[in-house]
Order: sequence, then C-alpha cells, then structure tokens
Amino acid sequence: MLIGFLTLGLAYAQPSDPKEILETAIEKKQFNNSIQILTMSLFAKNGSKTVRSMEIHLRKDDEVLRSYTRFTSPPEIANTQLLFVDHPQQEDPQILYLPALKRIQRISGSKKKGSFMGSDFQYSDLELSLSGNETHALLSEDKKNWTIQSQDPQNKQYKYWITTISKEDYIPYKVQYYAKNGNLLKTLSIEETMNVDNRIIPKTTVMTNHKKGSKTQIQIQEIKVNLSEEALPLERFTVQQMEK
Amino acid sequence: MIGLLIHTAIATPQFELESQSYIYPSSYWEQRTVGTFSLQQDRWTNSLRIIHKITDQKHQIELQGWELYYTSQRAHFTLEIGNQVIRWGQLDLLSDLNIINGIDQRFGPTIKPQWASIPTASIRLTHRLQDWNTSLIWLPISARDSISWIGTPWGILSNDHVDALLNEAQRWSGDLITESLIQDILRSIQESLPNTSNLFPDDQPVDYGDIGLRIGKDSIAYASHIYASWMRSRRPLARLNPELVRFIKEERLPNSLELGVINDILEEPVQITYPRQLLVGMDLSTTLSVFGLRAETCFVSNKVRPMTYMQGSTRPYISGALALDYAFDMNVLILETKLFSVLEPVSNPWLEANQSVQIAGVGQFSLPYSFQLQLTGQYDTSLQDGLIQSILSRRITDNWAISLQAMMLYGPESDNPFTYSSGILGQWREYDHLSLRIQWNP
Repeated sequence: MLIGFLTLGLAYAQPSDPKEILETAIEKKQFNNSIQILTMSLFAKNGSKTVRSMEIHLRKDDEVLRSYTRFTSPPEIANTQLLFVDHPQQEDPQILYLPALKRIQRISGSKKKGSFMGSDFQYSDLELSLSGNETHALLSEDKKNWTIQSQDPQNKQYKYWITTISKEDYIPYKVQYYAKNGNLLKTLSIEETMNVDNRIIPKTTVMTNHKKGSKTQIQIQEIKVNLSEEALPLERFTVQQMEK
Repeated sequence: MIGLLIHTAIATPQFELESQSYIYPSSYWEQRTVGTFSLQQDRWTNSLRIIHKITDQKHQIELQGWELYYTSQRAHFTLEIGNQVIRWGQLDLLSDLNIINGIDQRFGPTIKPQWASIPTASIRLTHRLQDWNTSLIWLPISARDSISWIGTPWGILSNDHVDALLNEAQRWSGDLITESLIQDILRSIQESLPNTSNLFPDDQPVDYGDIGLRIGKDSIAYASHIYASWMRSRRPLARLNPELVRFIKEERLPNSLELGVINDILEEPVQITYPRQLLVGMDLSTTLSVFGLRAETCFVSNKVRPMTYMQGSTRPYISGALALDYAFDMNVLILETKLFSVLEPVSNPWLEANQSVQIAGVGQFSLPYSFQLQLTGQYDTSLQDGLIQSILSRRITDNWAISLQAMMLYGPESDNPFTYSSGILGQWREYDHLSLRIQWNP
C-alpha cells in the first residue's frame, strides 16, 4: 500500500516499471528517523471542524519500524500516547496510554487496519511499505507524471487504487482509492510540499472520503529528519517511557 | 533544537471549564461547575481545580490542589515526590489493586474517571532496567476516601430513609423531648464523621506511614506485576455507638433514667478508624486474538466490611478479576468481571455481600456528525443492584463541547437505611437523573 506522505523525498532516477517507481518512491527516499509536530483537522460532512495536534517520533532499524505518537490537544485527548513497534513478519499490538486512567491499553495487532484516530485515514494508508502481494500497472505516462493502478487481492478495504506520481520529485500528489463495488471511496491529495534537508516532502495532505462526505487534513508544523540514534534512543519506544 | 521542539509541545498549560446541570425526578437539583488548570513541564506536574456547587439548599466553593509533584531521573532511577495519583492494577471499574489513592465518592457515580482518584502526598522511587521495573512507594500520611455520609444524593445513608427514620422516631416511646434530642444526636453523628473533602484534611495521627512495592515487566507484548503493601484502609471502618444501635433496634428513645447513656451517645455517636491491612496481588495485560486482555488478583488481610446498623468489621478477602477490550476504528468495548469472597463471612453484611460476581462494561462509539456515545453498565449478582448510564456528546468547535447524560440506578426497595439488603447503587436508586454538560477550553 502506498502513502508514505510523511517521509517521501526527492528521487532522480527515472525507472519505468510501475513497481520499481513505487519502490523507489517509498523505500529509497524515505527518512528513517524523524520527529514531527502535526495538526490533524477533521472536517465533518456538515462543515464542522475539529483539530488534533500531535507529536510523532519515527525510527527505523532494518525492517523494524518504531512509531511513538503523543497527542497535545484538544484537552480530552491531550497526553494520550500511542506506541507501535512494527516487525514485518508478526502481528504487533499497539500500546495506548490513557492519561485519564493512567493506564496502558494493549490493542490487538489485527485491529490496526482501522481508522487512524477517528480520521479518514486507515492505519494501512499510513504504512510505509508495500506488502508484496500487490500487482501494479502503468495506466498512463506524460511529461510530468506516472499514473499507476495497484491492487492487492488480500486487501479487504480497496478493490484497487490509482496513484499519480510526479516525475520531478516522486511525490504521489493524488491517490484514488476504489471500494470493492468499484465506486471511488477516498482521494488523497498532497496540497503543499516543503523542502527539508534538500528534499521535497509533503507538508499538507488531505484525505477526502467521498462516501461519508468528510475529509481529514494532516499538516506538518515542524519536522526534524535524519536524526541520529542518540536523538531517538530505543528507550523512547518502550512502554516504560510512556508511563514516566 | 530537538529538545526545544519537544519542550514546546509538552509545556503547554491547559485550562478547562465545565458546567453540568443535574435534574432529578424528585425536587432535588444540582448545578456543578468545575474549572481545571494543569501544566506539565519537564520535571513538574501540577494541576488545580475549583468546584462550585449549587443545590436547592446551599452553594459551596471548593478549591482543590490536585496533582503537584516533582520528577527527577538519574540513570535507571526515577524519583517522584509530591501530591500525585499512582495507578496500581489493570481494571478500571472493578479493581481491588488500585489502592494507593483515596476515592472521591462524594459525587457517587457521576464523577469523571480522571477525578475519582484523589492525589496523595507520596514518594515513589522507580528502578527501570530494560523492560523490568521495581517501584517503592511511601506515603507519610495515609490516604482516605472522600465520602458523603448524609445530606446529599450520594451519601452512604439515603436522605429519604434517614428522614423517614427520624419521622418515625418522633412516635417512639420515651419521656425526653424527642425532636431536639434526635436532632442533637444526628448533628453529633455528622460532626463525628470525618470530612475528607477539605483542602487540608482533618488531623491524622502521625505514624510511620504507608508502604507499597510493585515489581514487574512492561514489554510490548505483555505486562505483569506483583504487588505488596502495608497500608491503612482508605475506607473508614465505622461503628455506630452500640447504645444508639440498641435504641434503634428496640424502636424506642432513652428515658430520663438513661441520661448517662445519652451523654455517651452524644459524646461519641460513631467511632471511625482506618485499620492497617496487608495486600498482596498480581496483574497481567496482554492481547488474546482480537481482544486486549487484562487480569488481576489480590488478597487483603483486613478488608473493611460494613454490617447492618453501621457496625463495621474487618475480614480476610480474596478476589480475581478479568477484563476484555475490543477496539475497532474509534470505537471501544470493555467488559470487566470480578469474583470476590470474604474468607470469614460477616453475619449481617450491609451494602456489600460476602461473596459475589460483579460485572461492568463500557462502550464508546463514534457516530456521524462528530457525535460520540458512551454506554456504561454495572451489576452485582448477589446484591442485585446496578446502574446504566448513557452519554451523548459532541465537540462543537475546538473550544466548545456539549454532552447529555442519563443515568438509571437499580436496586430493591427498603424502609430502613441501616438494614438495607442491597448495595450502594441500590441505595441511590431514587436518584436517576438527566444532566447537561457544557465544556469550554481556550
């Protein structure tokens, strides 16, 4: 599954195989270690808007991805923390720290495919790698973009998805997700990019849910990338750290 | 620069104001406004809250210094000193291990979970090595539950039943001026009962304090801890004056030949103690298939067990509890159940059974248009009392949220508050209510 909106950077090679294009965008050009401050704005069908602010720490060691998220607002979820250590070949539980109860909650790994904190993003939309089961077809190509259709027979959410990737910066400016009945379900749009460490990365990403009439905007407020292991110690991605 | 980034996010002060109106089927009503301010910095955590409560009879303002503690970390050690809430155990609703802090019971089941545990002055030293941790806790002054005894909907003694008993007592035989005597006794009882809701609680005898130890492992896959503590009971052991009990049982008032007895009753109508108790226990948190699984078990050497006519006692006690969590999208289902047994059963249990199975559940559901629905239920199979609560809430803007709450309590009828056969939720069964809460934060 493609998204990697948090971590994609520039690429200069020009592969022609669709899988290779996606792999180039995802695997070779991502930041392994970063700290980001994000705002997530949820727009309901009736126009109401709620904003959640969070701080995300990401560290990747070989195939193991560690993610630590701490919400800072609004008050009812402030200091809620989410820890996820993703090993590629196993179902890892998510660890949720509930400040109101001062308690750790373990969420079964098989449930991580649901909505990301009530937004229009699925957890699977946020994954940073291809599962290996997908097939890809290059639908079209012009001077600016590749348009690739992908599908995964094991994906229960989407029948297929179409990704438009810029040749200039390898940013997937648009991803259209189609439901099992063939209707357009969601559209991801990258509305703004930023230059970090001489790389172009998405700054403002919007996921529109056509079925629900809602949309979610994630905007990077601050980001530090390519951090050293000392700046992102493994201790930060432990249960004990959440309870301190 | 990274340090600055994190510090900026963490040190944001938070203020929240919420006002909640309660409407009861009886003529009683209540307006409760709570302002909370909290600030968490690198080493300091502090929060403060102000409660303004208006009822049909009076209004009161209460200032509570909530958490205020300092955290210091050196190598594998963490030291926390100050007024703090320390969580033990895994269960949210039916835990017997979560005993470090007293519980605020003055608002009955209407209190928000984050305000239920009362911070207490304590020192906690924790040693962490990889996933293993050991924490030692010392409380110089024992924590106590904050209890409303009489005069509010959420008192241990039902208002209506106390009124009925007092009215009935006017007709009891005796040759003293009955009404003033009864009122004097009642006033004396109220003054004798500890008021633990003050900013500075009543004087307590100084001894060597309470001590607790927790050793365990917190990994991604599971967490498990063993516990041991030697602490005073957070719940008071209350014993009504035996002579007063004798008059109530005989349904008569003292006569002029029993003036000495009356003086004894007025001097000490009720005796309150907080006995020491040994607790040992363990807990577990992990996942099982699609469920989160939590469990705990404990043994208490001297658990306070109330008996009829407010004649408390202590008994050895054992319990085991299990909880299942199921999360999907932003929805959560939690089911908790607890089996407990008093090893030397008391002869006339009051408000609590000698053995029982308790069941509690919470469901939180995200609805369209930013609505959220929370359903809560609790039931005791021996006492046959319980509650059902639903809260429909919506965050209107980033600053405003509104919620509508309905609570129904269930339990058998009774005509004598001192011999009620069911539990405290049944005791409160006449206080079904609706409430409207408006929250604001800048």
